[in-house]
Order: sequence, then structure tokens, then C-alpha cells
Amino acid sequence: MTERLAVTGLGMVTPLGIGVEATWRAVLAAENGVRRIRRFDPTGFPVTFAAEAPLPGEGAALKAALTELAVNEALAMSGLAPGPRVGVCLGSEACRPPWAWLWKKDAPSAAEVDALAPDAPTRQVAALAGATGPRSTVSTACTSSSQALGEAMLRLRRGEVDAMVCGGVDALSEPLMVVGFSKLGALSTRNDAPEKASRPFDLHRDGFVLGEGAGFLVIERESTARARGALVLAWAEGWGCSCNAWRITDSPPDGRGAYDAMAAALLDAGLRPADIGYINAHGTSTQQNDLSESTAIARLFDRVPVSSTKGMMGHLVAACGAVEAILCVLALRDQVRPGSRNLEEPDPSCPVNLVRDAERAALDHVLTNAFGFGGSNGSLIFGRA
Amino acid sequence: MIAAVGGVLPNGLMLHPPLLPLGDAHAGVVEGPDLGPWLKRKKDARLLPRAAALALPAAGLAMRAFTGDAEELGIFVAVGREPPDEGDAEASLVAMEESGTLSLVKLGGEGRALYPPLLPLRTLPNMVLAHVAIQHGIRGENACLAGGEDAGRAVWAAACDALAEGRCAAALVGAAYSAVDLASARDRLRLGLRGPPGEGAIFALLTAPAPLPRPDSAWAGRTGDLGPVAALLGLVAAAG
Repeated sequence: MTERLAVTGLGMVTPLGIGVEATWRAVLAAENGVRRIRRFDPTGFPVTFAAEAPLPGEGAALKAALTELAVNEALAMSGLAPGPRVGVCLGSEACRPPWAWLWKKDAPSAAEVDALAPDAPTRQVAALAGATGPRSTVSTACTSSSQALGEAMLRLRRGEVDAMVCGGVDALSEPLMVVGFSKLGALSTRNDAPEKASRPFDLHRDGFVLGEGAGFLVIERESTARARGALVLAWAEGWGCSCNAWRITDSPPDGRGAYDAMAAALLDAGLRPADIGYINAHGTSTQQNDLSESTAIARLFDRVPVSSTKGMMGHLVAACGAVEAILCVLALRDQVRPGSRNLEEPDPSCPVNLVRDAERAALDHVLTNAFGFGGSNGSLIFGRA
Repeated sequence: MIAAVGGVLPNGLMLHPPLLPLGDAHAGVVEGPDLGPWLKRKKDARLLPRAAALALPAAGLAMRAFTGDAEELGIFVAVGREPPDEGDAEASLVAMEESGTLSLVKLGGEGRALYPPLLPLRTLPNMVLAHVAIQHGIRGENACLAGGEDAGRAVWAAACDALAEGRCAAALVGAAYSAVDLASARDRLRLGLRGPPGEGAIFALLTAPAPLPRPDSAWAGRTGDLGPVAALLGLVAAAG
């Protein structure tokens, strides 16, 4: 039997607040993190709202600020010491050049351009953590940080490292991204009521809401955590991934890729579907994702309670897998299932047992999904400490 | 064990190359960028970033040796930076011009009308993985790692670990990269990279863990910057 993997540190910045507890309180109260865009003047844009993080800045500088806050919180909570047996695995996409660069007369510096690279946050995290072990950057769109956590678990199990700092960061409230994703028809256009725009599994959902944020976890081998007296918040128990091999823009209606990822995670954790007490769904609030995902859940599980926290904080894209993994750890810690904001009329085509309001529950194991454009899927399972 | 290799590589320092013959039936020749044999749905061509267009023939050649169930095949891909998208959005950007600067108001109007609707999907780094998986029905474990040569070595290691741990029955592992467009060239200049840019893709079908061959010295240094592909150049020699 392989050694258990302990989650000992959490850190996040989300549209709902700076810090783990601020976000968690807001999630349990089903507060709203979606508002009119403040990063730029969206007048005349097809979509004028987003779920922006409560920090100033833009582009790579904003991602760096999000990363620093979240990583430092996770490291402080964990008390992890730096060293060569600490690795980093991050989910991140390349950052778009700041809008102003398009007309900037002076060329940006090499450092400014280098900061846009997808692995720039990985290098930043390694420096913040003093982690000189292996590091890698996963770029699978909305699945990125879920897969980063999965790779971290694999490295720990193989004994390549004693601890991993893993997570993701993204910031997409930016003019060309808003235009691009709205032209794809992927974004909600509920400009008159942004607070109601992100409504996973609701009959009247019309797309996702671009978000910003960062989430990081410290995961380590049980022996390492015990030896240094670290508080174990939860166990990282299972990881599964799959490809849809379907279409670039669509999810398969039968949810086969999502099913495969969840089934693989259960197998990896040595659990049965009935052992899972809550699923934090990817639940983007798009027609196709929510149909496909709920179909997959219904095929594999028997009435397991499900919610999507994207109703409160929108879609954090490359960061969503890690942030929602953190919410699962907190659900286990506090024995509570988060509810669903804006679930006013559940879509009867989504055959899952939706949690409307946060509720107390006896939870031993929880699962979280992340699915990406292009058809990469990831599922993670955490267990009560 | 390396069962097959497919590659699309620069010829010397040429940016848009005639393609390199790899030497045997398992590593054949790709003539030009004709994607006809490598695309199930022709309309997907408009979704392909350049790196994916290079990857499809390379992966397709490697997959010719595959006889199993693709649903149990793993896929592990290394990529470079996302391609800048200003080039493809040029018409949109021109429409936003106002008094020598770019107008956000115009971006929301005229500029938006001219913005290519599929552009966000073309620039996502996992599009190489996605297109190859779709073409071949690959549904197993997957990874898409971004970065330079390190990412090329890392995906090889990830594939070998997945095979050794029984998480997939076989693995398609490779890298694809292209830095020959104008916007990439601009970014390379800004980064102070003076060497010639390059592009290419190499994929190998692994049926068991295998050491990554050392980069082929005959090719390394003559190809221009190949990003993560450079780490896999040793496969050229292994295939020959």
C-alpha cells in the first residue's frame, strides 16, 4: 500500500475574497462575486461583467500578485520548509500581453515578455517556496490545475519528492478575451443582472462567467507531515483523467470523458461510488457542460449530492480545479456541503441531486471535477483527516 | 520500448520546410503540410494552430504502428508558449484604430465583428493534445506540459511512469512547436533571442518505458529553436 498523502496547506484569492476563510465564508453564504467589469471600460462590449479578483492590476502583474498571496497563505498554513525535496506543479496558461502594449511605442522589456510565459508563475512559486525539486507546468485549459494536483500526487507516491506546492492561477478579465469568448458563444450575456449570470444546472443558464483567481495547496507524504508535526487538513486520495476525443468545442452528450475521469479517480482511491458524499461539479453554467457532466454523474453515482460553486465566483479557468479542490478540503473539515447560487429552476435534463443551500453533512470522501476546452478531464478525491 | 516514430522537422534553417524523411516504414515521410490524410473532419483545419498542424502528421505516422484500443492509449504532449494572436486578429485590431491609438469602444463594436470567433480556441496550448486525441480517438490518461526543452523531457518521463504504473496500455508521447510567425518573431526579439526560430513536431509510440535517446547531434543546432521538440530530437536517430 502506498503512503497516504496529506494536505497541510491551503491558500486562495478568488472573486469572493482574499484568503481561504474569506472565500469559504462567502461560498457558504452563497454570496455573489460577479459584477460589472472594472479592469477596463466594457461599455459597448457584448458582455460587461466578470468575476474579478479583489486586487488591482492586469496581465502578468495581476497573476503574479494573485500567486504570491495564495502561495504565501498556503506556505504559512503548512509551515513547510524549503528544500530540494519540495517540488512545484502549476496549472497555468500563457498570459495575454497587456492591452496597452498594442499601441505602446516602447518595446516591453525581456522580463515583461518572459513574464507572459505559461511557466512564469511556476518559477515564481518555486522561488516563493524555496522549492528546488522538480517543477512542471500543466496547460490543459480549464483542467490545468486539477491535473497539476494529480501530477503532484503521482510525484509524491513515486517518492520523487516529500512535498509539493501545487495549484493554479488565471486572470482573463481582459478586452480581447471577453470579445473572443463571447464570439464563441460561451459567455453569459446577462448584462442586466450579472449577479444572476452564473447559474450552473439551472434551466435558464446561458453561458459561463470569466473569472480571476489563484488557489494553492501543500500536499506531502504522511510520514513527512507527521515527522514535522503538521496539521493534516485532509487526505488527497484519488486522481483520474481522460480525454473526450470528441470535438474541440463540444462535450459528448453521454458524458463519457467525464465518466472515465471520475471512474479512474475512484479506482485510484480504492473507493466505490457510494463512498462519495459530495461532488463539487465543474458546472460551468453552459448548456453543454452541465448536461454532459450531470449525465456522467448520474451514470456513475446514485443520487450523490452535487453543487457547483461557480454560481458564486464564476469560472476561474486554469485556477478552478485547485480552488474547487480547496473548497472540498474545507467541506470535509467543516462537514458541510456548499450550495448552489442562482439555482432557481433546476434543468430537468440534468439528472443530478443538486444541493440548493449549504447543508451540514457527514462527509468522508468528496470528489471534484474539472473539464477543459479540447476535452481534457480531471477528477480529484479527498478524504476526511 | 519505442514502437514507432513520426516527425515533421525543419530542413536546416528554413522556416517552412520540406519535411524530413525519417527513414523507414515506421517513421515515414510527410510531404508538405497537406493535412488531408490526417484530418477526419476537413472543417477542423480552421481550428488548427500551426503547432497542431505539424503535430497531426507526426502523430499519425507514429500511430500507424498502433493496433490496440485507442481508448486505453495515453497521450503526453509538450508545447511551448501559446502563439501570440495579434496576427490572426489583425483585421480586428485595424478596425479599432482611432487617432493613432486603439479604441476599446471600437473593440466592442467594429473590432468585435472582425474578430475571428475561433481564435481563443486556436491559441490554447492544449490544442495539440486535443486535435491529436480527437483524430485517433485517444481517451486515456493525458498530460500537456508547457515550457522549453524541460517540458519535452518531462512528458517522456510522464509517459514512461504511466506505462510502468499500468495507467495506460501504450502511450503516444511527443512535442510540437512553432515560432516562425511574425508575432512570435517579435516576442523572440523582445526576449533577446538571436538565434533562428524553428518549428516541428515529433511523436513516438511507446509500448513500454524506454530511455529518451540523447538528442541527435546531427540535428541539434541546425534546426533553429524547436522549444520542447529539441529534447526529442534523439528520436530521429532512434527511428533511422
